[in-house]
Amino acid sequence: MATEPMKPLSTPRAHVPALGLVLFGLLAPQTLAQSKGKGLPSFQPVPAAEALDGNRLVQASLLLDHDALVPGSTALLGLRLEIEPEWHVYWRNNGDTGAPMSFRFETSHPGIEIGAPRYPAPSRYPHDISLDYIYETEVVVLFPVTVGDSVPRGTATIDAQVSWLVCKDSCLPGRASVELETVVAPRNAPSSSRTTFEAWQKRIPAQLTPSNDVRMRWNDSTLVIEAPGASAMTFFPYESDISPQPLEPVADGTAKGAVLKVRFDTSEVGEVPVSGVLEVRRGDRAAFFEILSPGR
Amino acid sequence: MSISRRMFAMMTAGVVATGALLASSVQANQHKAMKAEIGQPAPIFELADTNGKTHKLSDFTEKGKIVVLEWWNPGCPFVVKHHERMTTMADTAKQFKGDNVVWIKINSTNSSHKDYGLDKKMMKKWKVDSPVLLDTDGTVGKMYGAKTTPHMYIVDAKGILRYNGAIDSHRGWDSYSESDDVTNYVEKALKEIIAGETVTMSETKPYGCSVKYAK
Repeated sequence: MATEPMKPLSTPRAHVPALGLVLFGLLAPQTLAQSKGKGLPSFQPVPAAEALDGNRLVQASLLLDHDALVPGSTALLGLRLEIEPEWHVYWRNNGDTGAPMSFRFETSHPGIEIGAPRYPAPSRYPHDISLDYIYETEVVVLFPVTVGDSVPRGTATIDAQVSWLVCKDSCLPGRASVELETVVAPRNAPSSSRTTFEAWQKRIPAQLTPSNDVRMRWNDSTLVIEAPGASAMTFFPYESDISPQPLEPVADGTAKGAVLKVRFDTSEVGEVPVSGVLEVRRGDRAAFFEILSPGR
Repeated sequence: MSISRRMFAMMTAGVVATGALLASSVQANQHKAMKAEIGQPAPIFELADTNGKTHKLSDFTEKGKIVVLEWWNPGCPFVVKHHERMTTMADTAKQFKGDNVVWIKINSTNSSHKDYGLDKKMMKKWKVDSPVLLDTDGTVGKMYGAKTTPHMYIVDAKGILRYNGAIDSHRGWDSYSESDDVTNYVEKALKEIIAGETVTMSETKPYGCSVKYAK
């Protein structure tokens, strides 16, 4: 039974709702990548006094897998979100409800370019009549950083603006500006964050190769996915403007055993291939693959 | 062995009564089993508004009105977006006021949820003049398959479901400006229905917070 006063989530001159205060007290102190006041423009016009309480439930930070950027090479940037327990943020395809994160980057030199995000595989979150794809506790989204040949030596910065929707029973929007300081140098070595990168790389879907022993075929408008030896499989479809969506994602999206049968709407399949992420569990190990359905 | 007349009468009455009971339960089951399908009769409902007044879908369609159903929850940032950061719902409703279009909001938030009970206060703040129907046990929401707030449906004057999906193509919770190329799907569908045309985009993926159904 809610006892705190009800307030709308955002009003001009908002007071921090009681709920936000209670949760803030629960958060352990975090060391954040400090925002260095570069006067970056925010990418949405937001009244200054508007308090987005979703800011307190998620802590954002940037990590680099190497201790320096080397001209003519690539490195990996990690955008880490640490999420308040029992709350969640969403995958690139949020599923039925919620909304995915969005990011914008700026670097100190045009030769330092941030590439497309690589999202770790999410978790399924079925609730009532809906199914969402979420992250809980922590997620590190990886971004390739390409460094041009002519980037001069010296300090370099990468600035990120990220916004998210964090939900539990209710949803709260949040955003952060975070910065990473590094150097451009002729040589580099793995950074102290490398174990974090190694752990999260395991959840980034890999390209499927024949050695992975995953087969796909169409049976009418049912996509049959087989992975001999698998103890369980789960399919996470990409967004509806990229891929046809399963008719029954709750029932069909996950199964024990080595065969997954996912039903689609006949009128939708055949034109655009089905794409998404497949999780294959073999024993106590999970592997993640990016899949693209074959022609019918 | 012959049965007495009285026995016969009682048996007949029993058969008739059972038949009537079966018929009404079939009808009740049909009512419950109605699903929201484009081109089919929209699920019928009867719900009380925030003033306790009951409304039926047929109250409107019988008068030749096109009905826009908006699933809402004032505690959701996407609902706030359309009522406070922008006024999408009010503006769209106003645009079609002279066209026999009625806008109804439905709230399926369960009574244990922290977002429950915000309607009257936010209706006043946001100057909402359309009825807000309370579907606290979620029956109507589930019949329609309402997943998000907002989730929009359009029922034509014949009671047929013509649109199911998002209010527009801007799937964020922040406001947008004229220069952003955003399609208001409800506005587009209403124009087509009023012109007697097929709705070209009759189903879109809705976006918003989850509807807070009872667990």
